[in-house]
Amino acid sequence: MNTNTESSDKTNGLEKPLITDEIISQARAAFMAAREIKDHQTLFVGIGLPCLVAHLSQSVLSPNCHLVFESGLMEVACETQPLSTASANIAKTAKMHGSMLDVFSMLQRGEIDVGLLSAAQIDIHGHLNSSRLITKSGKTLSLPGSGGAHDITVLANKVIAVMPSDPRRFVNNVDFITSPNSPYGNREGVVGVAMPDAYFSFDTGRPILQKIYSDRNADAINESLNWDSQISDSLEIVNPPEGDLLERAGIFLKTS
Amino acid sequence: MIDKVMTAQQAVKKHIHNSDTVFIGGFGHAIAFAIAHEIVRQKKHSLHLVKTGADIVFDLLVAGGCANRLSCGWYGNPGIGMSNIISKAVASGELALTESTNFSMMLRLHAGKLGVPFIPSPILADGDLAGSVDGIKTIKCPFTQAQYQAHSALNPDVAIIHAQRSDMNGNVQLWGSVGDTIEGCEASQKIICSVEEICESEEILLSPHLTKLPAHKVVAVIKQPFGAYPSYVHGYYQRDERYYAEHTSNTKDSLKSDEWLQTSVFDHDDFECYLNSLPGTLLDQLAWSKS
Repeated sequence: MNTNTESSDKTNGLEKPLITDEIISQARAAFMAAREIKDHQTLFVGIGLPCLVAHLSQSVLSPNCHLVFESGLMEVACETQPLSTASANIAKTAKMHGSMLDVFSMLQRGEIDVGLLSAAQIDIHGHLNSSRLITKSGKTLSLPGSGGAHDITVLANKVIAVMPSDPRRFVNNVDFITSPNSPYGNREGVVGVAMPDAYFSFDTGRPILQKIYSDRNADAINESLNWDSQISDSLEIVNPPEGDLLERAGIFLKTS
Repeated sequence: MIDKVMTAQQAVKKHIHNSDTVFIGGFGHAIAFAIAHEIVRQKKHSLHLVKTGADIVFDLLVAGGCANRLSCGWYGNPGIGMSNIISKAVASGELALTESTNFSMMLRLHAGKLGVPFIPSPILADGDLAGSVDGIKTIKCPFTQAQYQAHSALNPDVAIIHAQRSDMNGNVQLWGSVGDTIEGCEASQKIICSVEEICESEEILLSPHLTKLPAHKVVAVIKQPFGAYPSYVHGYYQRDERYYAEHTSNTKDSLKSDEWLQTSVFDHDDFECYLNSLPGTLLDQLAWSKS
């Protein structure tokens, strides 16, 4: 496990990143998700916020986790933000270059413990949308589509979604079900969603506000989103990431 | 031994026909830009493009009017945004888009590679993509009676790819992130390959484990250093990050897209001329670094 000293060594020659509100927001969402990962787990990592989750897991919280990307890269050290699942920065730190078929086969065989995904929308059923949005005026806004998201959602042993704190992203029914929360066989499907304020679980099949940062109010967060969620009777209070964790997030996001 | 070395102009003219189904190689890495440029320059049309994740090289082919059909699991500018060109072509009806998932496309190409009609998988049984994808049907497992989706085989007419090197006979060596390239090539009837270097067959014999494509299906070998620019080639050069970052705004409307197509393709006789038109030290700056 890296220590603080190593982390400051790494920044040698690099300007210390300015910790902006955007970095703090992403770090808070990612940290909430990374806390759900257990050491030694194998993670299938999507692009965007999931990469920061993978980075914080690997560098701090779960140093023995195994990272897999859909391009076929395996045993990746995710030290800087990749823009795509085949980016050179992660190809250079991957200990195995397999094919897409290799890694999707692992997923289908049930060897992926956790799939980490983001999406444009998530709903109370745990369905994810990355295909299209219907605007208030009824216009359809196209998005890039599933990629591997549908496959990860159906085939990973569990899926943790990680989302920015935009209330429009948390809805009762997504505009389009790209990735249905209908896991294959006895897999668990979408077990929760992390965002910059809180973590919702789907243990009962509906979103339950399970964990909240100590500087947030549970009622206020629960009401701020556009979906019908409940607050758990055993709500856990979590201290937000600070110091080294924020600095790591800053360096990770800056070097993209 | 047959010498298959030719120019991109000759290869595209001889081996790509209007209405062909074409697999485009390179998933984020070693994308076949040089050959795609030539397809646009020769104004091929009515192609059916097949891919898992369709990167910005598809913008080139769609803006160039080369394709009327796209089957893919994703399309856009990775990590940056939507494809304005593809969205617009789909909305206007010029391009028929079949959206599925990356794994489904992989299974369909793999079925094509195996020479079987389909591969069963539990994906695409539920959700709004299920039922909307051609080539997928529900079947019952003959052993357990459980339901699966049959993902039908895809056998493209031709695969276009870029790789590190090959001998003149088409023993193509490719390494780094291979993505969907090998499945796509093996499912296809024939392969057109551009390479950074052409080497002697003796050199191939020193590392036959790096030869990833069977020479008997390779119909053309094109020597084109930087032939995957602006994407990267492992061990040779980095991606032009600025190009990708500016691409979405450079193609935000028809006027900008036309200008982009003109200055990248039509203003040049071939890909080498295009590379020569780039700012002086740009390609040097993209030199591969190990870290």
